[in-house]
Amino acid sequence: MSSSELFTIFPVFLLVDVSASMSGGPIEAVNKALPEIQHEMRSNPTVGEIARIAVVTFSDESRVALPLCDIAEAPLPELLVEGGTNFAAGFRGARQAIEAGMRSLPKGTPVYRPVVFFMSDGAHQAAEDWTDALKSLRDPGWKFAPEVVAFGLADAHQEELRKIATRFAFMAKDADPVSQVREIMNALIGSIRTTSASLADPAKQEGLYLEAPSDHFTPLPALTI
Amino acid sequence: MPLPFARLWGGGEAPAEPDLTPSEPPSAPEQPVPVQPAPLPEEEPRPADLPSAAPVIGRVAGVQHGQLKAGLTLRPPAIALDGIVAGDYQVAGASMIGVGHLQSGQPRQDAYNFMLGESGRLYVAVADGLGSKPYSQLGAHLFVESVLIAAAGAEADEPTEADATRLLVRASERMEQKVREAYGIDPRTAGCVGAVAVFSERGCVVARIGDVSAFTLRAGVFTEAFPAETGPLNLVTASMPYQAEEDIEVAELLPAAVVVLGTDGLANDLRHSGTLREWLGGQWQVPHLPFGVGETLRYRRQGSHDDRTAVLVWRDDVPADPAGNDPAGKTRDEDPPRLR
Repeated sequence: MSSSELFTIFPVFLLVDVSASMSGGPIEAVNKALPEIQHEMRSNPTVGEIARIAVVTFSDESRVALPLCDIAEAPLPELLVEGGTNFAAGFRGARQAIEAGMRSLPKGTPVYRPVVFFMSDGAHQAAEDWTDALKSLRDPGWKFAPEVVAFGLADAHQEELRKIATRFAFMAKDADPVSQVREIMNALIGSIRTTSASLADPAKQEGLYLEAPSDHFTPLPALTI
Repeated sequence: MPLPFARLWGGGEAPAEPDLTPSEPPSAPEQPVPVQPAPLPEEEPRPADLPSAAPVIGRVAGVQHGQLKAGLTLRPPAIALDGIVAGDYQVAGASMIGVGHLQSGQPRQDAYNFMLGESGRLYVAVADGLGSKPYSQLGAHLFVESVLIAAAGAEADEPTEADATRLLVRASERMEQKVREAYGIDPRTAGCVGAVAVFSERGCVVARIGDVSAFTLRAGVFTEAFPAETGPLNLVTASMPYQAEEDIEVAELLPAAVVVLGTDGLANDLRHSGTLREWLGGQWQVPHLPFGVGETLRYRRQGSHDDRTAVLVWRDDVPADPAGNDPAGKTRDEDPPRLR
């Protein structure tokens, strides 16, 4: 038994597409949502007790914009658009961020299964195959294998979203990409809030709880890769 | 306008309204001048509770009034407490709803119970309903009840022996049957994890399915009887009913002055909090009465939102352990322990 204090953690990783097509309103909507997530962590202390957030971006490459941390106390990054869309880079970056984030926790920290919220507005464009990187991210033999939730907007491919998600995939319905991003980020905030409370609430302990209202999202059944 | 004395005096009959006219003559002895009280701030009435000496560990949310989900029928009370002498043992139990359930309006899903057999053996059952199952509180309740019924049967059939594993299996079967036949619902919707402990002069045997655990307490130090599970907290490895035989784990404990059986809401905190172990290790060295044991589970800890259940069993006639330590961590010359 540990001689120190080890507090329970719910790790949440936001995997955000920052390809050029996200420029303008969509990336601004993402940047606007980050302070709202921070506000949620500060204003809902029960959620803030256990949720820890990281932000990973991907375009041609991936970057860790915010390592796994208590976002209530963290300075927030401003996400900038870059170039193309390479899912493989994103999945590799997410795996590395999870590995680094989880290893940064004190040894023996009790944790819930990590969750990756994937968000993209388009299809994979790079030459390399992305499914191997996804399989590596979701590898059931990996001790930190996360639940992956996929949100698509604009030109995202439904088939790809269905393959990316472990159980839950959604396509935004709104016509305007800015509104779509806003709704995705609202759903994401709601899911963090509810899932954190649900993990706190053992009534929903076996699974992720998602708030993706059907008037804004089309649920997509997950596909086995 | 009358002064709001009734509010100031906490209700009941208000005293006579004071005369605010300046008194004459001025040479009269000075009297305290009544001052009109300031209007009371418009504060939200807060629910009353007793103060607690239990520790607050880490950054925790304030105590909140719980909610009740509409339409909830199979609801056990939010708290259960016991503190009693049972033959050669003193037993205290507490089961308290967690913050998560209070906020969401869900019921307490932990359950415990115990029975003294005619043989002198003590039977203890502890269960924790699976949060994802809508009737898990029913499964947990029926399991602990079924353990005692199975134990009574074992006392009659085999007065010299009682097998904790067999009691667990029988209780799981009865729980499954009752949920299906008496309540008419799918037993899988009432899944739970649980443990059965049989105390005798030879010590204690604990059989379990899932993550209910057992600890001994010696000289203020907790020792867990089962290896702690690794991996994510929200992935349950084994549960009842329909458990696999190989998923039943058994631990045999030598006679100990204090044995603690607890659900994961308590066990996880004991594993991960030195502050809590130190505090409970001190508190639980002596037998407790019901409110005393309830107070010990009122600690608040960052991220600890699950239901908490502890059943504590003390016995006096325990030999010193092989290391030569007194099992209760107290010397023979000390005064007999007093109940808390």
